[in-house]
Amino acid sequence: MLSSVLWILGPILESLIVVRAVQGNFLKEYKLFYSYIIWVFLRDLSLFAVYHSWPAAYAYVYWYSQFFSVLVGCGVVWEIYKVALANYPGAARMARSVLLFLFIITMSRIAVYAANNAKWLPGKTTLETEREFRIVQALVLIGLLALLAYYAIPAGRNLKGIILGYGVFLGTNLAQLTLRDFLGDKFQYWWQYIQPTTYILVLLIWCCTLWDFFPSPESGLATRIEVDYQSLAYETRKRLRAAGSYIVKAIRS
Amino acid sequence: MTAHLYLLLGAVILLLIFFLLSRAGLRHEQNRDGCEGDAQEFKRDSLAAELSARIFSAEDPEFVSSETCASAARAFRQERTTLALEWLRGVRTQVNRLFRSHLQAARQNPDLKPAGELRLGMHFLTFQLTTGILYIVIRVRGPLPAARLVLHSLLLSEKMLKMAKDVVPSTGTTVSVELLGLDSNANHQGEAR
Repeated sequence: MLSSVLWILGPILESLIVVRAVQGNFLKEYKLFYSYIIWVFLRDLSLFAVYHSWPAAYAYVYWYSQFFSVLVGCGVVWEIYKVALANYPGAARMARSVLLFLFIITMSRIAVYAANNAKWLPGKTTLETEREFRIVQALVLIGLLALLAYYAIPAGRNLKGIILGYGVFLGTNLAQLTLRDFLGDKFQYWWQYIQPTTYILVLLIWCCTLWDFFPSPESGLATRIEVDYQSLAYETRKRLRAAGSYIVKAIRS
Repeated sequence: MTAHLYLLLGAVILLLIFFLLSRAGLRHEQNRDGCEGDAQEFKRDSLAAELSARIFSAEDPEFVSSETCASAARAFRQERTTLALEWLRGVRTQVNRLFRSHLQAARQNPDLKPAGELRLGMHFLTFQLTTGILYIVIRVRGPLPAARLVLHSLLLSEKMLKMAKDVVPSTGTTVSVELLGLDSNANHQGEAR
């Protein structure tokens, strides 16, 4: 009974999120994110139908569509990158290098694992495969967030909500997938409650933070963008050295 | 064992996301609060330079300990330690502002070079680490022993630089000097004294 309620609550909240975006006319601001929500909404409805009319096929449909969800989820991380760094070309350039590096490192790990397993899929099961890709997404998201914190880039309420919701989703998903893999069928009973509950929590975060449109705040500071980067970096390095030698001089004298 | 690692990873991801989100907001607020204008230059007026040199000099403590009782000398040492810590904190704050101002400019600069930016980040990190260690040493041992320790390590690194020069004449010097935060002028001035 409870699992059915949780199951129905998911599509209701998903549709609410999309309806609010349509009403507020900000669906186009986060296209990839809303594509993800619409995909999950359609998937939930299809799974509900399959479960009740064709239960034997449920597991196949679930895991294969889940794999596609992981791919669509990459779009959410891409959206965060695009929206957060839209007004910051310097930070965006840095992000491209750092994120590409992180992506290559984590994907190479998966490729090596897949090659050793002599299967095209990197894990023994779809569950393991999903977990590996969630780790890639999580690391890329953390890298991106670290850059946002480093460059003090302001994020609006909407963007913060998307990041927080997807971050909670990735973290809890990773823990659940591990427990499911580790404990096997023993965990299945709990899985049917824990998984939708955490997902409802994520949807509630998105509902609250995406109820209205909040654009990313402007930094509001006059910056020295007219200076070319080489001289800017040179000046900063010079001043850092000056600070270092100032301390050494004070101690030496 | 692997399961524990994955669970730990999940928890770490969650914590990091919460931490970084709050940090991003905090840094933005700090930037908005100001300090932009006066952060452009690293300030070193002659009075501050003289005072800072005085904090680490052995003259005053020696005079106080020779002229007063042990408790007064101890109180003097405590005062000097507080002063030295405050001075170091001031320098670090200035450097933090300077670096924040750099980041504000760099984030909007389309010509940003990721490699250069990483090198600069490493410079900043090295500065923070060395001054952090200095802060701890001053706090634990006081400004005079800290100054002696710094001098000792500088002498040691200079010796190592000389040795490196002898072994490989064309490499090593620039990097080490940069890491120490010394320009060639400062180095010569120090040697002259």
